[in-house]
Amino acid sequence: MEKPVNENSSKDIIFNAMLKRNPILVSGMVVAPAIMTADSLSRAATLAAAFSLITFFTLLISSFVPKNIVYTIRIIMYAFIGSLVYVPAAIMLKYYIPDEIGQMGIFFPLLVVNSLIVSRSETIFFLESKGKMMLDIVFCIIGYDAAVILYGIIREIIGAGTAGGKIIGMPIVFQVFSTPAGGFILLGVMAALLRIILLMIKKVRQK
Amino acid sequence: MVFNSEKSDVSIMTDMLIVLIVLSGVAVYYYGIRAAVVIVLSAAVCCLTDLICIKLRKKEFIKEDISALITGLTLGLMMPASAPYFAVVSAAVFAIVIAKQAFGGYGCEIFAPAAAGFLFVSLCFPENVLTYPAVTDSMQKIPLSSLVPSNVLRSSMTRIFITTGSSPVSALELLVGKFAGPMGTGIVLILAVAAVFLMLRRSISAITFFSEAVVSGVAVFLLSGYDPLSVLCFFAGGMTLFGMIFLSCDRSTVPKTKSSRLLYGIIVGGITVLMQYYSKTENAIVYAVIIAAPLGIELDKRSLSYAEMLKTKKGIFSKNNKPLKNMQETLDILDKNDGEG
Repeated sequence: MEKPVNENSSKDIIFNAMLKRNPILVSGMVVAPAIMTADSLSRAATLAAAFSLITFFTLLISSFVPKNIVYTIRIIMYAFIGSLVYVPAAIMLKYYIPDEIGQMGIFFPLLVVNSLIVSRSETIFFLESKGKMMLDIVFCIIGYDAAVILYGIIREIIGAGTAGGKIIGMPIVFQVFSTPAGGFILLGVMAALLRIILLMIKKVRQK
Repeated sequence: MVFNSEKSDVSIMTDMLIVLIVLSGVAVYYYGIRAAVVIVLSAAVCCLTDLICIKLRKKEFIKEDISALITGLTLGLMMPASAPYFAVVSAAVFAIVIAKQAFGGYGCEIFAPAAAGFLFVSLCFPENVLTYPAVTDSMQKIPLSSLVPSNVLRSSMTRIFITTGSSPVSALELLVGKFAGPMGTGIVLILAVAAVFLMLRRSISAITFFSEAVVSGVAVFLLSGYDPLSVLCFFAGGMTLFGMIFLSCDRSTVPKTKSSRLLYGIIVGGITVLMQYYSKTENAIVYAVIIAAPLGIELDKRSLSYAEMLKTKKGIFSKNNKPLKNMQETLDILDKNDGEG
């Protein structure tokens, strides 16, 4: 379980949600759908859209679940709320981007039980006011989306030699990055780079 | 006795280096100057990348550490003589940065860096890395350009063996490595001598090597309908014998206790045969080594916990009747027990 957030300023909440505790690159949440589906910009954007819709509304509704309910029941309720949110989200996304959603396969409905929902519900809702909670959730989702889209762009460029579906004339294309194995490696490299950046920021702040 | 406890890492690496240089010489004889360029490029990039990573990590550079050179030579010999230069560089950088330095550098690797590097490029550029030029009798030459024309390339002997079930070349050609394949991995005669040399010098684990050889050899003999040529073909092709020496018995990734090494060898041998015969995978030993590497670590952990159990429950004591204080002492006793058993 993550450490509770105890920052007060909105700036800190945004920084932590997007970078310091980035859901995918630092906390390692919702990794499987990203590795399996986000191998191009369009597919990464689809994942980001589906994730944002389902997670935001599930977390929003979950915040009203009474805190005195037994933990096990609360978890089941989060999954139930996620399933309810999934229905309209699926209808909407299948209407606008049917092909892309179809390509996500099982990983689209699996977003209903993504670990971020439980993590945020169980750590933030007990400690923060509704306003700060919403701020944290929104920027957490933005942080995930930004990371996934960047990941998709890099993967598409080095794995397929295209950007947004257009050939960009890369001298060397590393096909392996279009596969889950390469996706895993790339995600690890990105996570390591983010840690380096965070360390540099920390050093600058300390100075 | 714990593996390599009596032999320094420098001595092991020197032994490995001697064998790899001999194999490189044969590869250059068979394939000409381009083979030399590929091998030297691979070794140079590995050494340079290793040095850069060490500097970036602010670690001390040890002059005697030639592990990067060994990785580079191993990797170079696993490539076809026609490998594009960018593929060689990519494999070398991946092997050192991702498979070696990312895990903490020399001695901390989980996977054999050369195996990881080769796997990376064989997934990235299969059409360049898994097609091979024919062996030439004279120093006739594969073009030195990065991309060799595809009309001089062909499928490997192993691919034909996997597809048809029979060897496309004679036993003599198999023994001297005169067939299309990775440039330094099929010379059975030299590899056999090298294996004996390295085992006698205690530079590779004899237990792992023999358990792997026996398990895979017997399995192939049975699966091929008792055909000895198929067994020879299996060991010569697909980097099997080369992989057994330089990848699966690699000093930094092989388990530390004798019992673990025996099991590890059996597992690697079994996976290699299964992958080659049932999933029709070329160079199956590279995959087997990667798959089995975490199992080797787990086997070591089991041995250590078994040793701990013996220490606490059955009261293994040192000579002065005091409980064992460190794991090294425990491992020594466990290995001694293994030997007696």
